[in-house]
Amino acid sequence: MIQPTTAGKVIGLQLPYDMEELARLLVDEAVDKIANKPVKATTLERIRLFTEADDTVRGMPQPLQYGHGLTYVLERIAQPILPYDLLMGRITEEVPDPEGEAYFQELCLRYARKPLPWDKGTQPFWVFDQGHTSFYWRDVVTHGLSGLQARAQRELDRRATEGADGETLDFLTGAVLVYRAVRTYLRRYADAARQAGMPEAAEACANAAERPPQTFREALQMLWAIMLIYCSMLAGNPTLTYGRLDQLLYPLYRKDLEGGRLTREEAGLLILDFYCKNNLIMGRGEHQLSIGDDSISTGWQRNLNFDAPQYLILGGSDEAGNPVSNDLTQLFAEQIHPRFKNPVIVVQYTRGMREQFPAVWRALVRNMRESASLMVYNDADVTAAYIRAGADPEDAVHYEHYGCNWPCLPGMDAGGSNHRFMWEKRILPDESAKLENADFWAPAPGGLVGELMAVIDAVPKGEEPPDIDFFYDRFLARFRDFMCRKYVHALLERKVLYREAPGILQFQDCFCKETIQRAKSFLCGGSKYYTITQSHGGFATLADCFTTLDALLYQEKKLTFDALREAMTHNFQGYPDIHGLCNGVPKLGSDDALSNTHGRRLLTLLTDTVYAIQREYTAQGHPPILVKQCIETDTGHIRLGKALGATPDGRLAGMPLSQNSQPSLGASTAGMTARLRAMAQLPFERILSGAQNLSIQPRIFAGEKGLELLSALTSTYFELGGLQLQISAVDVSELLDAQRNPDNHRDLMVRITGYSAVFVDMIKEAQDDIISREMSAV
Amino acid sequence: MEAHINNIQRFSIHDGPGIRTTVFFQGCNLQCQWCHNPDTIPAAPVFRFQDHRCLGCGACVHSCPAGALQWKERPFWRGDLCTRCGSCQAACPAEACSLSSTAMALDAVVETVRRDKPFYDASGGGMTCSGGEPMLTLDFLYTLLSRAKALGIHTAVDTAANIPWEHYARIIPVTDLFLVDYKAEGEAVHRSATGGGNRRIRDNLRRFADCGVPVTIRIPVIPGVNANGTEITTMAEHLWDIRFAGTVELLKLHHWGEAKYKALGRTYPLAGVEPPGDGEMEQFRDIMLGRHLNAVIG
Repeated sequence: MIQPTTAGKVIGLQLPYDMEELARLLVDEAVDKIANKPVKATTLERIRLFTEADDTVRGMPQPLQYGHGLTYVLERIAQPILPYDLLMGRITEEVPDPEGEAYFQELCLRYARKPLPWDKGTQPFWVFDQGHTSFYWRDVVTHGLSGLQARAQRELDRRATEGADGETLDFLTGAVLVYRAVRTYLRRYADAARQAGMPEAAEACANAAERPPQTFREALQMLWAIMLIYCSMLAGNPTLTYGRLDQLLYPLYRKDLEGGRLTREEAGLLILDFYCKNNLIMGRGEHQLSIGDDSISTGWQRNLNFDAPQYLILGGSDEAGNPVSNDLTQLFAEQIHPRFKNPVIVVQYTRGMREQFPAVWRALVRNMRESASLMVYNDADVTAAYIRAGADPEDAVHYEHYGCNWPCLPGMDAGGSNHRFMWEKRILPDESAKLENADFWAPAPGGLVGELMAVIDAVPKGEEPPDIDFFYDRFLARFRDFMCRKYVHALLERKVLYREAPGILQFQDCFCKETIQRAKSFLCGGSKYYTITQSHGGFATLADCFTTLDALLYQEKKLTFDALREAMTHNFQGYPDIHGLCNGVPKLGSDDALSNTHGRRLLTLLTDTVYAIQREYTAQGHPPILVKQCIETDTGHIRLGKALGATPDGRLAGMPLSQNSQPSLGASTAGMTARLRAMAQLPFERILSGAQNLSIQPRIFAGEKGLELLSALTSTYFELGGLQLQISAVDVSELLDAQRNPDNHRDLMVRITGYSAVFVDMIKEAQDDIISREMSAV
Repeated sequence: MEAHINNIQRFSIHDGPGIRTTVFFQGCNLQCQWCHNPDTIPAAPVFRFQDHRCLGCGACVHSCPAGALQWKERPFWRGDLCTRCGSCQAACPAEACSLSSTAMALDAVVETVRRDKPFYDASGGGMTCSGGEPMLTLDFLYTLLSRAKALGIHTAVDTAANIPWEHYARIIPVTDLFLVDYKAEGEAVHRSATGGGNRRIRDNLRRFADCGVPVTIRIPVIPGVNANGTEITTMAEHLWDIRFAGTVELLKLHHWGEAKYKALGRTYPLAGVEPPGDGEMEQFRDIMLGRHLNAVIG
């Protein structure tokens, strides 16, 4: 029992620092590591141990390789501790000396994955976790590692008694070994903490290993251990989501406070340490745009976590639809530091949140204003979209997002690119690799906008299309054709996975909702939903093209189709008048009636097409595939744009498309409210994710008045139906100076898409894109 | 019912409380040297030209049915011939040519203002009518304010107070807040800086104070006009004398409107004038506070 505190001293946490000093030490280390971790730093010990483990498990079935191999590593890996650690769990990173570097390079080649040229690979072939997921954390917190292990053991015993096949028994045996290995890791940390003179930390580790967590601290300790193992030792580019921690941990938090075991301030410090620990494992670089540039890219082989953040979910609703934010929501929000990259906080906005939870909302908006790594999703939109996509309502309400900005039903869905990873790891036979090579469902260059350009190109010279429906009909026919091929590919992929790989085991399988009960990997029948993602990338550019065609050819009759196409063919060079007309048409984001209409129409038609395909194939007796419809490009809008010539909206050849669910750059000229209102009127109750980055000038929203304005602005956007919002508040002058003097701005963070990056670590092309975006700030 | 509207600015946050939409009217009866909307001063729309946008295509000249535009390396405008038909603006593919205002129907203005009502409601904002001098378009203004009030939208009028009091009396029932400019206390200084005297303005300030209607007084702090302790003290004493109880906002000179002068082919009268420093602004605010006025730096 922890005794009441004396003023200023952290008695409940038994550390020789006062709270302020402790917080400073934690934050200083985290911020320093984000900005200054050496690019060449790597977890050499982790690589060496996995290589040794590989030698000891050779010839075993994969699940046993996994279980025994992980055990080997977790029984041996170093467990560093610093005096101000509250939670235990660090991994040793170092810059190898020349001899170590040569050893490192040799190991990289040993596990090379040829299809991914930038990733030489440092994991044995029996490890192919690839992250981008969320676990079923509710079970983890409720049962603890010991409970989960017991459950797997019971399932193993039962199936053994019933004479199950060897593959099934191997799967369950491997799972038991995984739980046991994680518990061993915690027990070892308990011993290390005891020896370091940190008995409370030791007790938290020991308890987290032996029983379901009974305190807030034990729960956080357990979660951090699982996350550290997954993100630093197993999954490359993991982006694992923590789930709705303000809900999951609230009963323990309240019990601790009521029992006098913990004060609110002490819980805050634990959260701060939790955040800081997450930042310590980040690698340097910007994974989307610096690939191939060794001077700034750490590569997954050096640091598995790379620059990929974990997500942490706050707010949202319960199964009855009631909003459930609480004091812990606020505490998690209060502990965010604007210089943190990790985790990304995802707030699930519930109707009336600003009025119902004023302190929570205020804390969140304060962080948004400081460009903290935080985004807000509209609970009503995403839940409705999941139900429309085919999720059961009781599952839909538990939706989450993982990096970068992708939706998931935690511990319940699987699919997509997983097949590719297993083939690369040679888990699947070569036959199935043909699926990977099958590009028969590949979209046109430039994605959806490319499909429209193909329609435009196909019109015979001299023929004037009669109306805008001409373009819609042909575009949708092409889109439908593409989606059907994509859907069929997913059906084939699912079939191969279920047939060829049901017995494989990943770490994630131990933390899903039904994998253990089904004794199958989440990828191969162990999860409730099989999913694919369809992202309508470049949506605003596409909508603008339709709007411009309609305005100039049919509404205002200012141009002929041939004249417009001729100008586009020449990239508008020599056609300044036509270019001016195209640019002058109000675009999506200006809240103009015509652009609003086309935005709504287009998104409705795209999503309806997908729903129809789902229905048709399911009616034919195929297993259902849940298509996650998003408007997400990450940084792909640059790549898509490069593949395209000039477009009817006035965009020049090679220029980026619209990013994520945002208007095209410069298209929103009627003010911030006009932009938000225009975007909110889109039928987002069909879309599961899509970042809306709102760049603001910090001085506009300064002070208490500014905070209230931002609070009103953002909450109104969600009340109107807006899907997602993340705020970027950076002075352009600071960005420009950072380009000239990078060393003076090592800690300057910018928002990308569901994650943040150190600005000076990005390549110049990406920096310029960010500067263009910020120059349009209100 | 129509009026010449220069601009309808959504997400306006400096013209009254909360998030607002500001409707800028054409026409003003003062000519302040520092005016950042000089294109709104003439009673009728004027031709604006942004040479950095011009493609040199001459479409504006060719489109003019009245022969009011001639090409002399750039379009040259004859205001006396121009019928304000807007052909040049419609013809320009680069948005280089425009008229400073458009005749807008009342319904269209109301429709635009209405769109952001959810943002007003959430922020305590509303609609502000500014200009130019909106009071010069009284019937339209009164009807617009009435329509906004009927929709539950907070209304504000930004005025230089240089209008007969009877006109203000008419719109007071449909106006929630007046933003009243107060530029100088000395008659000669005022006349020199704005082209008009300030007797009526001073009188109206007293009437505003007397009638108890919510008013915020806005003082643009301009070097060479009122940015000195003596003038500010005199202004503060006047406000104290009339028992003004509202907020007094001190607004530092800025040059954001300079490009508009260029677009009109005019020289910006205050080019190069250094705005008051932060320390000076604080001194002026303190003078106001010393007279028990609720002064803030805006």
